[in-house]
Amino acid sequence: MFRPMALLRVTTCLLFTLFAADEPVKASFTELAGFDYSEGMTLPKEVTDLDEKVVKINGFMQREAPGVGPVNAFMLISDACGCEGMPMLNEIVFCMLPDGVTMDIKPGIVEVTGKIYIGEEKEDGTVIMLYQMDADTVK
Amino acid sequence: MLLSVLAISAPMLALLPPAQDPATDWHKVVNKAATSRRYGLRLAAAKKIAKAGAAAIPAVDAYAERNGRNALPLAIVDAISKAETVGPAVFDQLIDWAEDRDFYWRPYAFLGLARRAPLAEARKAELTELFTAHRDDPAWLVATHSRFGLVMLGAGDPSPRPDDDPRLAARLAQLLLRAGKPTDLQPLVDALANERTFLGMPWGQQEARESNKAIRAVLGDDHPGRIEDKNAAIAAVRAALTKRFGQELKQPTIVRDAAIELVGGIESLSCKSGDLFLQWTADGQLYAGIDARPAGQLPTAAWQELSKQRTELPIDKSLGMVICDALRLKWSDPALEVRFAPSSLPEPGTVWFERLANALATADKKDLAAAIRESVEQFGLR
Repeated sequence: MFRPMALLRVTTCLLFTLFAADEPVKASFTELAGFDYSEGMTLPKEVTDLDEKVVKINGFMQREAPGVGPVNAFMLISDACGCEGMPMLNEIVFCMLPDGVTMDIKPGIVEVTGKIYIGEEKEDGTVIMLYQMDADTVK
Repeated sequence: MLLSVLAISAPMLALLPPAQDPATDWHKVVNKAATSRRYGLRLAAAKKIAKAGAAAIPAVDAYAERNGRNALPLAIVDAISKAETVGPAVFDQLIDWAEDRDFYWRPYAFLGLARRAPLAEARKAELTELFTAHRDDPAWLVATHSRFGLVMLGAGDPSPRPDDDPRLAARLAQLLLRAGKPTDLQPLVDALANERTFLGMPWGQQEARESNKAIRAVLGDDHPGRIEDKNAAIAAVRAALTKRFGQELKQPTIVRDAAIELVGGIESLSCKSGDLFLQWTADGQLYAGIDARPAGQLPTAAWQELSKQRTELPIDKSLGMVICDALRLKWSDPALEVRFAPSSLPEPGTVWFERLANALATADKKDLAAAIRESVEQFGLR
């Protein structure tokens, strides 16, 4: 028997779920950088909970290597004044823009949205990243 | 015989720290710390150099000699400042860097000296003199680290001054707390309630985060953790600190930016000359300092003329490669936010800055005028 109200409820529920799944989670350096990081440590739960979530996060753009001109990848850091010395790995989100997309490093605070990946990434046995993001938008 | 030698020497070799491995080519490691395209690799190489102490110093010095001292990356200086290495060569290098006013990373040289100060009884007089000379340095981090050094030495006068940078008290308390030194914890708790910004930069949040991190590092499992409501979170931290240290601490009020419509400003960050922060309203009310302290108003005619000239400035993009010191301009009419490295601000910008300085001097705001002139000197295109 066809029950239009029930179908409507299911459809609404599905749409809501889809919408909610796409809505970025608000993340911040308060949790990402809120602890003293050491290699191999167990990361706080509030941080690991963000793994593979689409998040939006505010910070300052910085090049990974010195240079000029547009970039396809950048570091998002919590502190623009250099007051803390060299940013530690838990104070940086390594952002990668989509293939073929480049942009200039913006001078002020930016909001970056994209999927974040949490966990130590090693190269030649050295941890080189802790937080990576496939950045979709930078505003 | 050979087996006996091996049997004796093998455990001894194992005891040798990797830093003293004579096979390490420190020039290569320094080069990697300075030039690797991977941030993490630069960081790791810098830590290796820092751990090596005296063994790596000739290579660091050689790199600075070849490329200029300011080509030394912050990674190396920061890592050395935080390492546990001591010894005359390390002290000599840090003192040499600290005394070089043109060295970008001298605040971290002071930090390195301050952290090691209790281990250098023979150099106590020399370090006390150095820290005392810089306890009110225009660069607030140098001042903070110098006062940290004085406390670590138990010498000199590290007491606060009314015109201290508003970030200094909390930063000093963070350092002392982490170093296990008795300190007034109220500045740390107050920092947790700081939500102030400067030209969009959330410096209050940064202070709050660093203070919370220091508290968390010391309290460990006694830290109350994440609590959504900010006032409740601060109250919980405050209670945990009181329980641990026996200090009665006041609950701070959340501090936000004053309800003033600021429409523009300049931020000049300099490890040499100190930071300059200036903001203004549409009608020329001025606010100086990162915490926007009222600094008077320019005469209407002068302000209108300056505003007109500013809107006509042919500046629309950032210039120069910022390594440390930087000049940021931000205003809303026309919308602009740009950043300049030293010697990069185009001439029309320097001319406008000089006019601003002249107007300030005429209005008897000589300190501000002098600070702006110093900034022009550093950032103007040469």
